[in-house]
This record gives sequence, C-alpha cells and structure tokens, in this order.
Amino acid sequence: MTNTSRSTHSQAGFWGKWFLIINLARRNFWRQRRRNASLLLAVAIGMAATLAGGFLIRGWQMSTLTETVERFGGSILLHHHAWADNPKAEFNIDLNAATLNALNQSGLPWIDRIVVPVTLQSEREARGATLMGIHVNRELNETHVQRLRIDGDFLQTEQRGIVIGQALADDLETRLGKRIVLLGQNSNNERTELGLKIVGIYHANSESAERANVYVTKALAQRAFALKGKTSEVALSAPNILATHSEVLALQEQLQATSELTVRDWRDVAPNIWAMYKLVEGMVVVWQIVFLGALAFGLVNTLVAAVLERTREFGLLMAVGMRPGSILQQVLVESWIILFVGLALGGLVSAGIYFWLSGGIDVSQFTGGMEFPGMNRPLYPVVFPSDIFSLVSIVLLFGFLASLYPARRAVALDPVAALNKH
Amino acid sequence: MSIVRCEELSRYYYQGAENAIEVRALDQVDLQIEPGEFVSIAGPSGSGKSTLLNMLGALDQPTSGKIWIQDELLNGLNKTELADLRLRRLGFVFQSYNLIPVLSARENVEFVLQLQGVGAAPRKARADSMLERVGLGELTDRRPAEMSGGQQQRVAIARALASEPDLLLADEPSANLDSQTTADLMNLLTELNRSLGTTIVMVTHDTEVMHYAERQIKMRDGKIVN
Ligand SMILES: Nc1ncnc2c1ncn2[C@@H]1O[C@H](COP(=O)(O)OP(=O)(O)OP(=O)(O)O)[C@@H](O)[C@H]1O
Ligand SMILES: [Mg+2]
Repeated sequence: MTNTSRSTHSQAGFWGKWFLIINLARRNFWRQRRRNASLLLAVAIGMAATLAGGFLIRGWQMSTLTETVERFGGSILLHHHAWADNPKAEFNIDLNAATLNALNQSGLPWIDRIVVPVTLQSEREARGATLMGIHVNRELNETHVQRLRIDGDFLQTEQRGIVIGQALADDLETRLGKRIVLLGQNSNNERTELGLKIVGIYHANSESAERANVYVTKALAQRAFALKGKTSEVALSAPNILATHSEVLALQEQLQATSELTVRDWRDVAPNIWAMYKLVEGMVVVWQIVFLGALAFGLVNTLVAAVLERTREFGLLMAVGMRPGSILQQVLVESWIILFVGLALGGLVSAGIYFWLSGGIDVSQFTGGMEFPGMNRPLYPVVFPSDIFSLVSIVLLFGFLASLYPARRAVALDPVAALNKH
Repeated sequence: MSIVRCEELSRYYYQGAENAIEVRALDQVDLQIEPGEFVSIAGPSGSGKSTLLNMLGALDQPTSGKIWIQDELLNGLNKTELADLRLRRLGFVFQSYNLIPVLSARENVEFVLQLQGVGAAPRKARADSMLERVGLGELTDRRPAEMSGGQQQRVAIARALASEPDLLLADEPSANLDSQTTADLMNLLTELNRSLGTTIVMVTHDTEVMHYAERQIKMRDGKIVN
C-alpha cells in the first residue's frame, strides 16, 4: 500500500455527482417500495380522477357552446343595430353589394335567415312565436335544425307551408295538414296576414324549444314581410369559437360604411351562455383544488415523514463529505421519481377513460326533458391542455415543497445533531 | 504544522426547563495533534470524549474557541465548505450507524471515492483492496443489514482509509466487538498508522484498547486532565 494512488481530484464532476445522486435515489426508492408504490398509486388515481372529471366538465362546457353556435349557424352574428332590442322586420340587413362584399371579404362561411315575431291563429287558439325564414337545405345541413325529428315534410317539397313544433301544435289544438293564420308586421310596419298549411311538425328535446320557433322558406318570408333583398340575421362561422375577436374587428372594419349594422359574437348575443361558460371555468379550478387538496394532504404528510425519518442518514452522508446541496437534490430526485411515475400513470389511465368515453355519453336521460344548456345531446369529453398543465405543475410543486422543506431542515443541522436523531 | 489544533475550545449544552441547566460537555480545551500520531481519548461516560472528537472532525460547532485542521481555521466555514473539508482530509468510524443502508459494503467504500471524483476502475480496485485488508474480501456485495456489528465496523474503517485521509477519527470502534475481533481491529489500525502514516484519534474507555495508542489523553468533566 502506497500513497501514490492518491486522487488528484477533490470533488466529483457534474456527471459523477448526478450518477451518484440518481443511484442513491433509485436504491432508496426500492428500499421503501411499498410506501412509494402507495404514494405513486395515490398520485396516479388522484390525477386520473381529476383529469377525467375535468374532461367531462370541459365536454359539457364546450357542448353548451357548440350548441349555441350551432343554433345560430355561426359564432359571429350580424344584425341591424336596433334589432337586438326590438327584433322587428323593420330593422333588417340590406344584402346589397357593399354588405355582400364585406361578408365575402371576411373569408368565413356564412348563412342568413329572416327572424320575425309573429302570432299564429288556429280555429280555436292564438299563440306567439318566432318565425324563421330559412334556406331550407343549408339549415338542414349546417344548423341545429338537422337534429329536429320531423313528422311530414320540412319545406322540401311543399314550400308554401309552415313547420311548427309539437308543443305549439298541441297549444293551438291543430295538427299536420291543417291550416293556420300567421299575423305580423312587415318591414314597413304594416299589418300582414297569411294563411298557411302545416306541412311538418317537429319534435325537439324540450317543450319550450318546440314552442319557440316556426319555420317557412326564406323566399316566402321575404314576400310576406316585404323584405326582398333583405334579411334579419347573418351568422358567420369563425374557425375558433373561443377566439373570434380578430374576425369581429375585421368585419366591423369592412362594414363601417353600413353604419346601421352591428357585429357581435356569441358572447354578446347569448350572454347567459357566456356567463355559464365562465362559471364552468371556475368550476374546473374548484374541482382541481378539491381533488388536489385531498391528494396534497396525504402527499405532504407522507413525504415529510419519509424525509424526517432519514435525518440520521443525512447526518452520515454529510459526515463523509456529501454536500448539503447534493443531499437536497437527491431527496428531490427521489420524490420526483415517485411523482412523475404517478402522474404519467394517472395520465395514461385518464387517456384510457377519454378514449372509452369518446363515443359520447347520453346524458339526456338525466335532464328529464328539461331545457338544460349543453345537455340535450351526447356529452363528449374534451381535453384542455392547460388543465393538464396546471394539475401537473401543482402536484410537482406540492411534492417539491413537501420534500424540500423537511430535507432543508435536516441538512441545516450539524452532522452530529443529525446523526443523533432517532 | 499540527494536523489538528484547538484553542480554548468549549461546547455547552443547555437542558431542562427553559434551558436553565448548562452542561459543559467541553470546557476550554487546548489540544494539538501532530501528523502520524496515534492518540486515544479515554475518560468516564459523559466526560466529553465524543464531543471533542466530533469537534475535531468538523461535525459540530463550538460554543466558543478556535479549531484548525492543518492550517485551515474551521470557525466561519459554511456547511458546504466543511463537507468538502471532511471529504478531502478526514475519515470517520462511528460507534454505530456507519454505513449507508441501501449500498453494499463495496459501494459504501466506493461512495466517498465517488464523491471525490475517482474514476470507476481505480475506485473499485481500491475498495476491493481495502475490504480485503480489513478481512472482508468475501463480503463485498453484502448490504449493512446482512453483516454483523464488527463487520460493519470494519467496512467503516475500510471506507475511512480508502479515501486516504490525513486524519482518521474513531469513536469507540471496538464497542460492539468481542475481544478477538477487537485485537484484530487494533492491530489493523496500528499497522495502517505505521505503514500509511495516517494520523489516528480514537475514543475508548477500554484500557486494553487504549494502550494500542502511543499517546493517551484522559478527560473528565469536559477537560483534558493529563
Ligand atoms: N445533544 C446533546 N444535548 C444535550 N447534552 C448533550 C448532548 N450531547 C452530549 N451532551 C452532554 O454532554 C456531555 C458530554 O457528552 P459526550 O457524548 O461527549 O460524552 P462521552 O464522554 O462521549 O460519553 P460516553 O462515554 O458515554 O460516550 C454529557 O454530559 C452529555 O449528557
Ligand atoms: Mg461518547
């Protein structure tokens, strides 16, 4: 034995140090494999449940939104500025060359319709409703109209007729094939009256929906309400329902000349839906906090205990010359291995749940025929990457603090004090 | 230059209600140990032997007084600097709990070399030869839990010596050993002290063991009495 083999190094290099740290972390992970496995499982289950629940909440949120947009036939709407407060035939959009040019310049697909309040009279009863004068084939392909169940004909062969909802037909004590009288005011505020045959009866998910609208062809509505070359509403489809701002601005710019028109997106037209959207946004946060609160409590307790019971070991490591900083790194690597594997596992499980439910869940049975936004169709899970991001970062942060704090306290002791802790 | 030197070194503990009771574990101790010495520290239980040894090993902070290892004043060094100093210059054998539980005997010996940045091949060779030297050539792959107290103690010695420290500090290294194993261990330390010139400071209250050392320090009530 000689002294000549004395090392010229005094400190391990970067890779040497990390090799050491990771090796120790790996060994310690196995030493406590039962506890670590349950920790890992808790993280995985918490993660999977929170994520999967989030997918459904988001699915419902997006469903209310798409339902609304589908009802309009687009996310951006063009009206006469007085129409919102008083939706009469008088307040209409002139589809002149300038307007058409502006619409086409936007590059967005659009659809228009006549929307006029009317009174319907049968032989026995009278009821108010909203008359929709539509491009029949386009609405049947593009808007919520395609989801209505129709008895009879939806204005495809009998274009001189009217289609009304089942509930309204019951109220009016009339039925398919009967005639009714339609009363309203035309664009010159003159009283107009029109007899029409009921050629179709539609069934919707709720009675209120069946009472709301009645349908005729756009051509018929234009003739009846003196709206030749005009329309009540134009709906444009922006590619991203949630980001319509730039399109709205561009349209406003294009339409500046036609000052009596307003451009609004669905948020302004359906403020209740927008309020609901924001409410759900808060629900997601609450949902995450509730789950994470439970998870974090167990996680923090276990990690703190696990680190504190190793105080003596840290004393030994410091005594033989391991730097306190390296010991901290080692502890953090250990808890992060557990958290990462747990999170990855939870992510995989939630992905499985996502694909399992991706065919859509029928929730209409739970709403009992009530009009409930977003619940009148199958619910599809929706992934918001930001939800995953916030969840993962919060779990990692909690795990980080829960290991860092006790480990810092342990390495703040002098090695002797740490070694004497039992 | 002494290998370790202390001046008016004190370490007080405060115990009891509102820390009213002052325990002078170490009381104004002056000590100087030269390179190559083999020193034993003896004295009754509670006389401050471990406290002094830990102080010499930069494992504890003095209440007052100064301490140098070689020419480096320890007072005022931070925890990282102290850890580096222990890594470079000191080796320890504690009374118990010497080994990292998740590492095998060889890995425990290699650990310090790894911290020092010694490459894999020389590291393994040195660890094996040290374990061979303390008579554990057959047990290199065992974990601490799979070894007896004496075997663990010897692994700790192998680890302390593998890093070729300037100063080896041992706190009752023979406390858990039978007389034959104790004799083997003392012979080993004596031989290492002679052949490598390693300075050794050893705490013991075993009079047999004490006499392996060339210089014997006696303590009582936190003071050196001889
Ligand atoms: N952490 C501590 N807190 C309070 N008092 C302590 C602490 N450590 C040691 N002491 C006290 O300091 C004195 C010296 O203790 P020390 O451990 O140095 O004695 P020792 O000579 O090594 O005894 P032994 O032979 O029993 O190991 C004792 O009175 C002891 O009670
Ligand atoms: Mg002692």
